[in-house]
Amino acid sequence: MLHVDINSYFATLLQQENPYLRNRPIGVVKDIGRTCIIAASKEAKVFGIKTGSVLSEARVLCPQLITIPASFDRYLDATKRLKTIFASVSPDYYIYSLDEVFIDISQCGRLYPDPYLLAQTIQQTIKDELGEWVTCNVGISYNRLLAKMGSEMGAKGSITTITQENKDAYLATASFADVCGIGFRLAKKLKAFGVTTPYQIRFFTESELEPIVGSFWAGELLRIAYGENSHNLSLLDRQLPHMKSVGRSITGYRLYNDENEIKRVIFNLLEEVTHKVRRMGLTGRQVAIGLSGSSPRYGQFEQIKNNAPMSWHAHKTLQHYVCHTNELFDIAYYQLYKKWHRSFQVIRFAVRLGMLKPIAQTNQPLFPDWHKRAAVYSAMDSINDTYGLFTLRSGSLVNQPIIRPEVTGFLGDREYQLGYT
Amino acid sequence: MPEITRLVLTVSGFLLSNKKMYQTIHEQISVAGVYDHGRLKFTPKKIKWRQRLYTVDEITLTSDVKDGGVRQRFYSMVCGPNVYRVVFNRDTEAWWLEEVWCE
Repeated sequence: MLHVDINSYFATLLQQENPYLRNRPIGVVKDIGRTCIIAASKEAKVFGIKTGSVLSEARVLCPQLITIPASFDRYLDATKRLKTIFASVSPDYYIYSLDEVFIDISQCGRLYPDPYLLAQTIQQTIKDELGEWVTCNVGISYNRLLAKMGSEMGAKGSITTITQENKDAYLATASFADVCGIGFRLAKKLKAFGVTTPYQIRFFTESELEPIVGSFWAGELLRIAYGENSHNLSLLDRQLPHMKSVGRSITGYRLYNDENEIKRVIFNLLEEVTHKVRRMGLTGRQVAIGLSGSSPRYGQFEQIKNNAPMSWHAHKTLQHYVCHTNELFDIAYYQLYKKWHRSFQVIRFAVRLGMLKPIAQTNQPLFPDWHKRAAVYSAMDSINDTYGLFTLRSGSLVNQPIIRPEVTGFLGDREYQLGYT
Repeated sequence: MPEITRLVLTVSGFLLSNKKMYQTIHEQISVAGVYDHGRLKFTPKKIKWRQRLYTVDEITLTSDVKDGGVRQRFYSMVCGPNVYRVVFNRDTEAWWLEEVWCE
């Protein structure tokens, strides 16, 4: 198993694009005016700047930091080009995020007798395809957990091989940040008991771990301690026939208090969700909406400082399937949102359509009106597929800035982004 | 908008614009280049913008971006001391200078 991880992906691509940015600390922000750093170059990381750093704090750490807005479309294109490279290595590959892939070469032993040589070839091919500045780490092992741990632990541009023989040494020196599946909070809990490396977990029994981390994580941590695949990585072997849900969320530039603005943002996000769902030939019957923000009594930053963000979430499971924007909006806005008395100003919006199923496997309503609407949406999708999403849009979205689709780093909609475009 | 939010946005906007940034241009340009029929690849060699000719020293990155059926190819190119982002609309076959990196 190989795990390939492009180093500081977004920032590296910017440095590849612009030679004047090379060897300089770069912070990538979502857009001009945004204050959260979503990616940092290796030069910026030296100053302690990382993904999620607040711009003002990053500038204190590194006053010469250069901030650049992200170009998600271009990163996605680079990932598509990487996908072509990985597909040429082995048919068994899994794009884990925008800049990470697992390549299973266990069935290609005769083609690749030396995995290290293959890793070097992949590194060079990536440079040839995307540019000389783009480097990647490769982890080689017999399962996903250790392959990923190897690439996380290695220096930039390195190849790390973890075998049955040397795995204990790596597990005894890895920090939990290098282990896939163990988050910051779990690592903090374990640290309180003096456990800072995966190997140390072996000195606990499952019954001793259970009161600390719960029954699921007790077993999971022991598997990780012995270098076995974690549950979330084992799930990658599942063959899902289609996506289970499609969601969209956005954090605004500011707090929203105006009802019309809130209504338009929700409609905009739902338009994108339903377009994706219809494009994949799916329909769903669970509608969810979530909002978070801050009380009008506080500014958003005071609220975050107090660690008490306000949020609201609601969902509705229907007896029938929906895929038209107006149906979804009726449920999300009128049946869920309007029945709740909003008590805070909103900065983050999230909508989701779940329990998806192929349209062909569901019963469609017999109402003539529904079929008329289906014909309208079909024509609208056809125009938007040709000329771009939101070329033809509802009157509710006229004369207002459009929130356009974007990819996320973890590529939650990988099937849509890599399979339907 | 709460005063504190407005203040922070203004300050960060200033900081962003005060540092090295891409300047949006979005003007049509003329491009001359070489088409390699073996690799099916076009490589821009010179661009003409506002009646001035710039020689392309290096293409540092290309990206194909699709918005619906509208296909665009972005070229990032170094011309002397500047970096240009040029886009070729593959449907209208028009070339645009989108951005210039400015100190």
